[in-house]
Amino acid sequence: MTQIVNWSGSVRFRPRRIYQPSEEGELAALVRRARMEGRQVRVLGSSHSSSGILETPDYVVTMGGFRGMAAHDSRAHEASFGSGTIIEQALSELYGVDLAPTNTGDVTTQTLVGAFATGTHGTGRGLNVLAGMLVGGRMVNGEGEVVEVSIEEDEEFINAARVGLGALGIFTQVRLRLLPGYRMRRREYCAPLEATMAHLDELVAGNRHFDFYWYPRADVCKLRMLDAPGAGVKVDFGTLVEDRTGWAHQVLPKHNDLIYKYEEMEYGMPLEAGRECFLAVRKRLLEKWRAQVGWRVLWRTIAADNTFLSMASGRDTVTIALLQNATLPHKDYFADMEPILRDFGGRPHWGKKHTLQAEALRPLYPRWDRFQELRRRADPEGVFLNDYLRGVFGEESPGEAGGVGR
Amino acid sequence: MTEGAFQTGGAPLGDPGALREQAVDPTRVEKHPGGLGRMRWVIPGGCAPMGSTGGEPMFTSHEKLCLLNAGKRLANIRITVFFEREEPIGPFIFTIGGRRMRQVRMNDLIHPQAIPLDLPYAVLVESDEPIVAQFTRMDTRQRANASGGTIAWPTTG
Repeated sequence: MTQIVNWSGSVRFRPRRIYQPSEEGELAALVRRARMEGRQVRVLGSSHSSSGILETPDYVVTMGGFRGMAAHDSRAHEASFGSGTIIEQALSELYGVDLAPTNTGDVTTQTLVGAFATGTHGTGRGLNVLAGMLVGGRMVNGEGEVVEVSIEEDEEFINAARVGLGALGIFTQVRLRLLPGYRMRRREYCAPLEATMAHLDELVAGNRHFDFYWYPRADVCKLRMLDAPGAGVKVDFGTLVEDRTGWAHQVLPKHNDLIYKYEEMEYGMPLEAGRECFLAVRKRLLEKWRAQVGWRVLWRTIAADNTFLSMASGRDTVTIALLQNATLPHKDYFADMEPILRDFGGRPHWGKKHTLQAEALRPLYPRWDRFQELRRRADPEGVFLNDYLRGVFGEESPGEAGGVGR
Repeated sequence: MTEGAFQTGGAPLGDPGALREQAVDPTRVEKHPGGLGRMRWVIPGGCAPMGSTGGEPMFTSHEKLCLLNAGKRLANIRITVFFEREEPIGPFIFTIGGRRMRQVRMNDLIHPQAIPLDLPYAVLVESDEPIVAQFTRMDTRQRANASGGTIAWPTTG
């Protein structure tokens, strides 16, 4: 059996078999077979997640047979892609038809649906998680049926499926609502912490994209801003270290060339708690973890949305990410910091390290219960539930009384 | 010299173990074609303090590697860090342009791995061009006794 290792190296498992279907019918047949056998099916994107969301002892599906742009409508600003399309490829193809995403993260090596399903995001006070671009598509549900879904016909299901953790079905194609191609200017400054905190509200409100890294070994920040050329907050309290302008796909991604790997824990809390939470994280890190942790802390924002399991569901959000070299211990560090992030109402990133289970998660999301209803309807036998998702959703293991049946 | 830094001869880059056989008189200055200094340097006495007093980053306790490339050609630098018990980490890779210098706080290095604070370490610097290496320490754990130290480049001029 082939061993699968995630990008950071901390998740390793050996599935019974790996499939790469090339058409929907083949994928649907596999799901029906797994359902009959009482086995799980999980989709593997780019293996970038470091939570247990990937793991299964049963069937892994890769979507390499579903890649590339299938259709576009430049006037409606929409395009459809195979669900296994790598974001970087999608950006390039969109540029070719004068379209662009509303946002991306720093890294664009994930698959579109892998990034959507885990709630991956970029930064921007007025910008949603990446899955906010998803307005329709085709998917194979837990009964092995191919279904077409759209925001026009079932907005509630789309709001569930955007960040679906791979639990509502397997997308084969996604339709995205986009923007006409646009140019941006990226500016980065090194700045003192005190000045960064003093100007934080202005920086968040006055830039289309704003985030900052905080470096625990020097207690300084790197401010990162992306705006339309000529727009954005003027900064007179830092040192300009990068200034370049280009099309969105040229300046939005930043770290695709990282060769050194890291583990990461990220939580999203209400926007108004973002500064105080960061200062609490900084205080604890300086007091207890500075000797072992040199990697930065990343502070970003996301606009509120109606997506059921988005970190920004129902509230404008600040996200705080803690990073640690993959070659150094991370468990004690993350375990010590996680309660601080939770104290401020934090919700975990589904693709990164966290320890929360259903009883802790349920109160954090206003539409949690409705998500579970839609999930059970789409996958009544729990074909898409692995151990991680059973813990997150509070479903007992197969064979236990009251669990999703097998 | 305030601490035990030493330079090594212009041997090819390679096995750090070969250093044992190549240690040379640390007070000797030698000019190489196109540049000043040596291609391998060792600072065995590193240990960056965890605690700091005063405004940061100005007064953060730290150790800093200062490198001068006085020659005309770009120097490719590789740094390896050694510990008492753990395996070495590195290489930390960067470049210094011809007739340029660079100062690197050891505390800030994170690729490929952050160097623990309050833990003794040694540094091996390898370059493909002759360079001059200097190592400085700022210790601000006690405000009244804050100190700085420098391992100087020996000169006979």
